Amino acid sequence: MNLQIDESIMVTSRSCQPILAEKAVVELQPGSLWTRVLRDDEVVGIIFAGEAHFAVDAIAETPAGAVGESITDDLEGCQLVLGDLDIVDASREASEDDLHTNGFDTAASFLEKARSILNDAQLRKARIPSNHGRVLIGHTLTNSSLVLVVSKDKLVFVYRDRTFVVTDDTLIEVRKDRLRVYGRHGRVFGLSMLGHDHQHHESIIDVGVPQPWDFWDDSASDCCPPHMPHRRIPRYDWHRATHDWDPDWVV
Amino acid sequence: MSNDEDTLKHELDEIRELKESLREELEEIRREKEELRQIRAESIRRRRESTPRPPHGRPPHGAPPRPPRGHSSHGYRPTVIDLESLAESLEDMMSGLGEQIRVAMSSIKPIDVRIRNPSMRRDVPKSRIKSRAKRLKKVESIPPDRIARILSPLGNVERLRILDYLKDGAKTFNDIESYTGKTGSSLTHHLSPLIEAGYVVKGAVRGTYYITVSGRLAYRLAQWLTSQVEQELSTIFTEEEEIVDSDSTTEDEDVLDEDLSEDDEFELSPESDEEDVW
Repeated sequence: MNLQIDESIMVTSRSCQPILAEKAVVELQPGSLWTRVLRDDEVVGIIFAGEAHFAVDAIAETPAGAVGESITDDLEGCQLVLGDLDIVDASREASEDDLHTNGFDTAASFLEKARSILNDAQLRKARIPSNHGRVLIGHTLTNSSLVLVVSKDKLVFVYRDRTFVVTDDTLIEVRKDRLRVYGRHGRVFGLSMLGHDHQHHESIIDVGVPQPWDFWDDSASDCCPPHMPHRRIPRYDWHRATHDWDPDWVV
Repeated sequence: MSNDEDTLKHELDEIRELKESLREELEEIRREKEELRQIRAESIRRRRESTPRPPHGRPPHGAPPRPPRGHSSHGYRPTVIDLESLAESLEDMMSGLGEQIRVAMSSIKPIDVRIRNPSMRRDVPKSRIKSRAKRLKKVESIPPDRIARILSPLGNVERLRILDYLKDGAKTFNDIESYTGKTGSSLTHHLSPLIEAGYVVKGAVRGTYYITVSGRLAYRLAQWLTSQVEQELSTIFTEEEEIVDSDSTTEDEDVLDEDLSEDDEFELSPESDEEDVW
């Protein structure tokens, strides 16, 4: 991948959103500097510096309920966004004052910083997304590295020590010491990974999310065997998969 | 001396005659016995010849039933039972039995536990019973403040309506506004406790509200709790009505009317007629 930086520096005249998807948004405030990223004279992204923040809904809706969380944070420094962007309409040529406002003495210093960011991305073998996808590589205000890949309603999000892979009804969450997969039927598969300080050890930590509604909702009646009358599962089944729930004790 | 000898001779002669007569009688009895045996054997042979034997040894249809073994005419020995003494001993045994049963029944406590699926209780391993008991002990030790933390967000009809609405899928703030009729800060006032409790999660990208796994579970169990309590209440009220009905026969009509008017305040839920959720 042979990416280059355009020499012209722009500044946003109003807020714009280089990434706007179903589950992720990156908003750039007015007065932020940016320059184009070129590949064979074709614009394939931008590098911007200025006041910006992001929001990612690492949430998947399963039949058992929603799993995951929404994460928002501010961006700090230069950020790289790859994809088919169009924020020219919301921008103008940057002036000396715009550079100073964003902490750069000269245009060369901003371009130098942008090149270093781009080289870093190339070392990471970042690829230009297709089908209106977007890739964000940057840093937050707390100096945490950030990678966000968005494609329609799917996203991959690396933030601090966590990685999320989110589709419409599935969430994979990877942390330093564990992995959890929330499936489309509301079930969760977990893996505990103790490495580093502890002895290398892997074990399943959790299987199953309570899903009593599977047997109560009409939508779930398809799972009922066809030989059963009225295609209904016995009612007492709905609580069986519930964690820590003992109806006998209640009675 | 000669007279004595004559007397002895005479007596001996008489004895001989008696002996002879006895021998003749014995001979006659033997003959009669032999004749009877021959006659019986002949009659049996004739009967067998007149009735053909079935192939499997069973009597033909319509034949008189065979007498039970041991009850044949030649081997029958009737058992003599002293019914009077037996009746007396039974009377002794039965005397006070009714009283014993009444005492035993009064000592049995009423069983309140409803046992469901008794077949499921077979062969439960001991380890499972122990872990279950341990878990129940853990559940029973939950203090009220922890319970309140879980239940208090559900203690409002608007919040429950919101949870019920979100069950169908994620909704925006505007959707919830139009559904509940609450707007702005009033709606936020209800949404905040649900979010704090973890029953609802808000997506920051589009301001979408989702019901979480915990929220869905809490709402479902709240429904179950409602169903159970309503059922229990309906059972209690039904029993009370029955008691009132039974007592009212001995009371005045005015008192009966008063009791019934009080019971009418506790209308049974329409769900009480539904099937048991179990």
